[in-house]
Amino acid sequence: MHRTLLSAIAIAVAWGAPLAAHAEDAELAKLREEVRQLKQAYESRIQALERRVQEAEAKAGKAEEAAAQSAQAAPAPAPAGAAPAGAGAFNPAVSLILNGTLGSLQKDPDSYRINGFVPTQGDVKPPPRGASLGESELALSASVDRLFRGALFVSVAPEGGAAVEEGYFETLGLGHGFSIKAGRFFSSVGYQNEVHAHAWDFTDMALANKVFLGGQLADDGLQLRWVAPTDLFVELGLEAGRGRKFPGGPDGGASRNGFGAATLFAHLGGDIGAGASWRAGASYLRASPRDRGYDDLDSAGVSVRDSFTGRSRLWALDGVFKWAPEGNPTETSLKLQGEYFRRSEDGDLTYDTQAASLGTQAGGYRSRQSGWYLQGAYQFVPQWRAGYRYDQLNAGTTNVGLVDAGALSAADFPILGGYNARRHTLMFDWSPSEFSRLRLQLARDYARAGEPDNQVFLQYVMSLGAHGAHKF
Amino acid sequence: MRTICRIVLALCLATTSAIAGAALNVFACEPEWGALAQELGGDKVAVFTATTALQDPHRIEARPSLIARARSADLLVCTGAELEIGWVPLLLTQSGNARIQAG
Repeated sequence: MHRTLLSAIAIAVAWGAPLAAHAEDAELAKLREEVRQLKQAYESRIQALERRVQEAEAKAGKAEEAAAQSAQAAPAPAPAGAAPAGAGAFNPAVSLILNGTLGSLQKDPDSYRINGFVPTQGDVKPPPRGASLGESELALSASVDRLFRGALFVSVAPEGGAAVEEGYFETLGLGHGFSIKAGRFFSSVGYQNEVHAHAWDFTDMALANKVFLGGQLADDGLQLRWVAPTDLFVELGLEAGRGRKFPGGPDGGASRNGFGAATLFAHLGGDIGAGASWRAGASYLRASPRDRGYDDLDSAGVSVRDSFTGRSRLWALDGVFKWAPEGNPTETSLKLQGEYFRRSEDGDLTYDTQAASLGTQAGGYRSRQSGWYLQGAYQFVPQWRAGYRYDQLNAGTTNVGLVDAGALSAADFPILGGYNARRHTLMFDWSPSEFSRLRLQLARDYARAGEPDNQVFLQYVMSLGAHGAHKF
Repeated sequence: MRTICRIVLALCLATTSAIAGAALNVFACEPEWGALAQELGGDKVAVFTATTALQDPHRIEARPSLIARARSADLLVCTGAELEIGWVPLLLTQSGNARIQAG
């Protein structure tokens, strides 16, 4: 019994062992099989990946060849396509300024005259009554090459017709602080004369600028400027022009082929702390007009044309002060500006050149006149500004030889009669960005002898396109 | 006469050596570039920073003091990407300085 049990156990163990061994074997075999299958699977996957990489490399190689070929082919069409691309490669910055007004004036702006001063034949009228499109300004500017930069400003009149306001090139980095500008450009007499109309703080120019510079003086000529290598901004400049614009005459200057007008100017500028900056300037403009004509009404009420030939000299002092807290004008800022002009003219005044009334007569002419304005604009909340300007003109002394000699009376030259014009202007404007502006302007204008003219204007100024920086 | 000549010559040499040892004028548009330029240059650079950290570089104008400093600058370090489009192009045209022009 024991033996049977033992033998049974032995047999069981004997059977179990190989079974276990079998089981182990079986498991081992199973494991081996699994590993083999895994190996096979991975190998096949690796082979598949290698094949894909090879294919991809082949494709890349082909693509490179194709790219190389097309790169060779591309320069061929590129020059053909480069002609239009080349014109755009200059990439002139183009901008268009649209401006219009809604005006309400007590007196007709077409009959606008500033008494006490010779009419300038320039654009000095206030904006018209009612809704009116103002001058649209198209500006193109770009670098020409590493030496020069050019700009053109065309003003398109609302009734049609375009006039070139400025068209010039200037040197970039002539070196040692020198720059040369040539063409037609706003003269650097005073401060406001160089500022484009869309950047003005008020809808129209100051009376002094209207009277002494014909609104804005832009003569054809050359300008040489030098900036001193000092920490204080010192700039000296010289301009020479044809002299065809007021205060010059229609034929330019006295010499037929030469320059009819010359300007000298000097500017000083600097900072006061982090928040304030200023610029002061002095300029001198000299012109020799010949037959500079203007229209007037003589004592008989007939419209006559008088003309002046002689020498005109203008001195101007200008100053601008800007302040912003810590120099950051985002929240609030202040701008104060003022200019003083003094002009002396000597020469001959010819009365009634077309013999429409009492016959052509000529005599001496001597005038010493001055004018100034002071304006301020304060930005009290972001995007909103309020401004005030006071203009004062002083007709000074005007000696007309024909009147002094008794040949004619002072009533034959009514526009030259002694009268000190002045004007108050108040404005509010809203600029949501540097590209748009809406302005409300109220003015009480004493430019005409007689009753004051009350003017109200609502103006919009919109800038489209790239807009270059404005001067300080 | 000879002593005067010698003194003048000595002065000339002294000033020339002073100029030769003068620092490079760096015009930095923002304080970050100014600090970087100062770190890299040490005492070989004289850095002028055009704006302060309290100012918005987009709203700055090309005021006279910046034009004057740009005129004397040897190197201009700015951000570009039209951040300073309101004033740096004007500094380049108004300063008459060939050393800081593009290209």
